[in-house]
Amino acid sequence: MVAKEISIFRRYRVSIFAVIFLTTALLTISSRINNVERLAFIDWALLEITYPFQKAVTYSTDALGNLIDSYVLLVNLKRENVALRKKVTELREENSLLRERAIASERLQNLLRFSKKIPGPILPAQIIGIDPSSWFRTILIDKGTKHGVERGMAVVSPEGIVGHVLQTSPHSAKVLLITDFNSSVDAIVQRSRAKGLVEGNGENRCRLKYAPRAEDIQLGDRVVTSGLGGRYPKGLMVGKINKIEKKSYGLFQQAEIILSANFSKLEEVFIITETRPVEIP
Amino acid sequence: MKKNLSLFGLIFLSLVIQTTIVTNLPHQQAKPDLLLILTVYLGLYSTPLAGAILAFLSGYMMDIFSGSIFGVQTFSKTAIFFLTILIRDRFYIRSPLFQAGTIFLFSIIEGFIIIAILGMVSPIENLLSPFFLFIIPRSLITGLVGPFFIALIKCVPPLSHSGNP
Repeated sequence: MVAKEISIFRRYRVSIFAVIFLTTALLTISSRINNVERLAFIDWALLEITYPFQKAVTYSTDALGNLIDSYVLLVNLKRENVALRKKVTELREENSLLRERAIASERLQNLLRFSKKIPGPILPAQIIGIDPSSWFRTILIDKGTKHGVERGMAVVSPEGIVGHVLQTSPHSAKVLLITDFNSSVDAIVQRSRAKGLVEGNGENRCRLKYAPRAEDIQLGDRVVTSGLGGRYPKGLMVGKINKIEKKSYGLFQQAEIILSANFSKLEEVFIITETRPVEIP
Repeated sequence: MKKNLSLFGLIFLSLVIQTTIVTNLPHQQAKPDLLLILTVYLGLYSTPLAGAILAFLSGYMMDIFSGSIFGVQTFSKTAIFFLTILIRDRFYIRSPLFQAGTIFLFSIIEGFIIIAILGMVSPIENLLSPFFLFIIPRSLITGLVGPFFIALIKCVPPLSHSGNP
């Protein structure tokens, strides 16, 4: 009998369990339906047990969320930073270009003013090359025989004389600078009218040589071209006396001249195409 | 015993995740019901008595955290457990695709059970509204998440070799 009952139970155990558990669930609903606000001990205990875990998980997920938000924010900031850097570079380039144009404009205005001072015909030229050797001082300009440039023509800048044309080709010419060892220019001291010969010393300075010992030369005196020799017009600025060397013997005195033209910054020059002597007013 | 304790631990963990991470997901309507997936798992791999107790407990614990009528989830989860037991030997539901389909179907059934109970307690005017608004999206996402969650459950050492009870 008992064995038969066990067998029946085994056969219908799922259905029996289903009835028991579902009925219990329904009874739970039924018992709580009118006592919604009542909290059973087991409910209270489960809430209390779950609370720290929930808090931990919520805290962790919030922290993770904040971390992700911060990361996304950083990624956006990085992207924005790259864009802004690019913009800054573009603006810097634009600024540099505008500055360059402003400087070029000022330089061209100076050249224009200077060209008006020269009585004869002049030809503007761009410096396209500088002598790479350390012994010679020459530059290459973008005007040649096609433009009427001839050997021996004077090359000047608004600040002062630069040199003369040494060699020519159809579209370019080589200019020997007055700082070269082989260059010599007849000059006078503007204040005392003392005559001398300005010779290059291979550096960015020149020496005034063969000035009579008795002549009055002082520091800071301006030295200008004398116009003799027919190469340079009279009165073009050469430089200023920086150092005087007068020995107790000999016929002449010497002086070091700081040149007016800044050879390291020269970009444009003028070629005086008039070969006859002219005087700067 | 070890297996049942592990399952209880899983129910507890799922409840914590359900009430914290899942509730904070962006789409309110489309949230997976992890405890339903666990109930289906219990139906597939547990003994009727242990599974029924655990399913009952999972529903009960859900009820504690729900603002609804107490016992609704207890009843629905227990019912889903027995429905799973009912079909587990009749249909092949061990592959992920069939698991997804079964979980989707049971999620809809659970929705209907809850609506029915709520309707009995306080009549609902439009039954189709919650069906399309909540039950379908929730069932879809639960069905999609189901096979992955079951695969995860199987990674827990005492449950890794679950076979037919």
